[in-house]
Amino acid sequence: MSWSLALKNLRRNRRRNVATGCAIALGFAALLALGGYIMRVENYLRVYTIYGTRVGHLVIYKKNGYEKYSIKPREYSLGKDDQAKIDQALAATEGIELKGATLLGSGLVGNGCRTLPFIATGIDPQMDKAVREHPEMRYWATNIRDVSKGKGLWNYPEELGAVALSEGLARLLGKAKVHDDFPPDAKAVVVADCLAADAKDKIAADANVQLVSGSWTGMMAAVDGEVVANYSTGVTETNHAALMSSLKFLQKLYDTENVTYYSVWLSDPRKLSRTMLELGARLKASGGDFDLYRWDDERIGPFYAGTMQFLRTMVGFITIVLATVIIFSIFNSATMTIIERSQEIGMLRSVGFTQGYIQRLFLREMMALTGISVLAGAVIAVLGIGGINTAEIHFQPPGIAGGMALNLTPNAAVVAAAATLIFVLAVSAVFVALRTIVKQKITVLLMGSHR
Amino acid sequence: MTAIVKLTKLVKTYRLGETTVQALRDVSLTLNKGEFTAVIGASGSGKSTLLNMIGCIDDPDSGQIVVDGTDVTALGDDDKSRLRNRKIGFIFQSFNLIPVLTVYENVELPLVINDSLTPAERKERVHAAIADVGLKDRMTNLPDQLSGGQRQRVAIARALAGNPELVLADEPTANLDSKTSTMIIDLMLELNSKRKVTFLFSTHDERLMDRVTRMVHITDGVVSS
Repeated sequence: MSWSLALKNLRRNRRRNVATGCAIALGFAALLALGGYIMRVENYLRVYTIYGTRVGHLVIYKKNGYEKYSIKPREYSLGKDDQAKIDQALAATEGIELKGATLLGSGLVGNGCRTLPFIATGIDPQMDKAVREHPEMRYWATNIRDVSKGKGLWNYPEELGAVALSEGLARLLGKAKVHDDFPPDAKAVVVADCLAADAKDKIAADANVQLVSGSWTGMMAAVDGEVVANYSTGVTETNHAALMSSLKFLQKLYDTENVTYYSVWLSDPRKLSRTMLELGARLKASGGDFDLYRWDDERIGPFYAGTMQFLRTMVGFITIVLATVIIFSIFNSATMTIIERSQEIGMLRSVGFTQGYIQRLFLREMMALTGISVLAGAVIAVLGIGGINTAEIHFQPPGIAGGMALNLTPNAAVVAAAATLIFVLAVSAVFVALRTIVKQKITVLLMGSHR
Repeated sequence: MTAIVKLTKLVKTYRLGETTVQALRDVSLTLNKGEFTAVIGASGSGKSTLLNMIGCIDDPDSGQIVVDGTDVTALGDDDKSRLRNRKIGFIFQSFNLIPVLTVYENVELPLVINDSLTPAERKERVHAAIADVGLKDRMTNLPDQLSGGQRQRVAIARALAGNPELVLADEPTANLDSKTSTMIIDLMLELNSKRKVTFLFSTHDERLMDRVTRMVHITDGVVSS
């Protein structure tokens, strides 16, 4: 009877209940949209960090290598012996989907007329292929999955010296075309006069660039590279200076066999902490001196950590505002309803209903209203979010190169969290509204004069 | 005769702003099972306070109230609720029916919290109470589809559905015309006789006085039988 009475009571003062229900439904839909936005950005940044920057779920550096590699790369990089120990430790660790070494370096890249600074990532081309084809990249980060022009490094022989330029760097170097845009027997074009009217055309007439840097042995080194692709790094900050090449190509430039770090991708990221412990123990047992980091460590994924911290603060604030509107709406509605029905409460108390029973009765009533409103909110959210997603709106989150599609993707956890929050707010509001009124003397309630 | 209610030296005072009102002054009274008693007095004489005390919905400042052998002044809130549910029926001046419930559901209300009854027993009691007040053909009606007299009959059925020992009615005819008032009193008398339930009702309508078996007069909180 309690639930049926609660549902029947909703027919009273329909206008007020509809207004309260609308506040709850719209609040719920807004929470879902907000949660969906956060999910979208969080997943993008996660995939960008783990797969886009190729750091993996776990990163293995030489001891203190993260801090000191850029100052003393030779000393703080992983030598052949270290690499062998890491390979051995990884081979004995379960749940590893993919692994690979990366060499980072910097220098100058030139087109014959102009030189610009670069930050290079040298990786195994097959690992690059595997990362780009990973389902996570396909689902969450389509803008950085494929190269934007040309073909991936793995399509070319090592002797070609294939490099992929970030979109901004390619534009600044005037390299509008890539290797496959030219005939196979095309020769490098020499630009004799960089101030000549046709200099730009000559620069664009081949895919050749020159990379110059100081080698780790202290010599100046230069290599020719063939631009085979342009790509987006996904982040504005690096999209004008990044380039990628094979690990061997970059090792040749720096005259080293060392690598900067090892990346490890897990087949089940939920086992990250466990795998980290296990791998950490194995690395220690190997006798090597290593540092092991998680991908979400703010040193490894500073963009992820910083952006998510900002977004969480912002969303927390918006959620508090929404929750306040909802709780006051419910509290106002519940208080008015309870005051209006004080004589009825008095009658119920007279015929033997306990205070607890009456509290439960009103709670059920508000739960029923909240339940119906949450369902209505879910319908609004499905329609609204569906509309936004199919409209293929692009937006520009701070720092993300080229923007991203505004796909709101609330998952089951977001729906459950939002619904739980709404129900907790509703129950709290009714409980507070009822607390004092239901404890009034029955005679006072019957007179309807307690207010 | 067995006493169903025994009041001993009951005192109740209210504060009304700066003034203290003595609603009941040293009231001692015994009601026997099966009696049909009217509490008669002017407005503000203490009739409602007396009924509220007997009905365990208000507490005295001092004195003792015994209902069907239980000293209610010693009971906690939930125990009083249980006692009201099992032993006492209430009829209110303004009917106090729940507008979204049908006649049947309104009458069933006190029984839904009585866990000693099976659904079948509950149904049987509701049907019997509704039949007793002559509203069998109105069971599925909502209160706003009924006249004032019919609504009060629903309230009477609700009071009787729990098979109480005692029915308290605070000015049950105050919102009704004289013809309907007479019919309601007649109905209560009939049920008193049929169900052997003790009735205690308050009124200031002197025309009803000759229809009751016992009268209790109350003036400024002092009772005289």
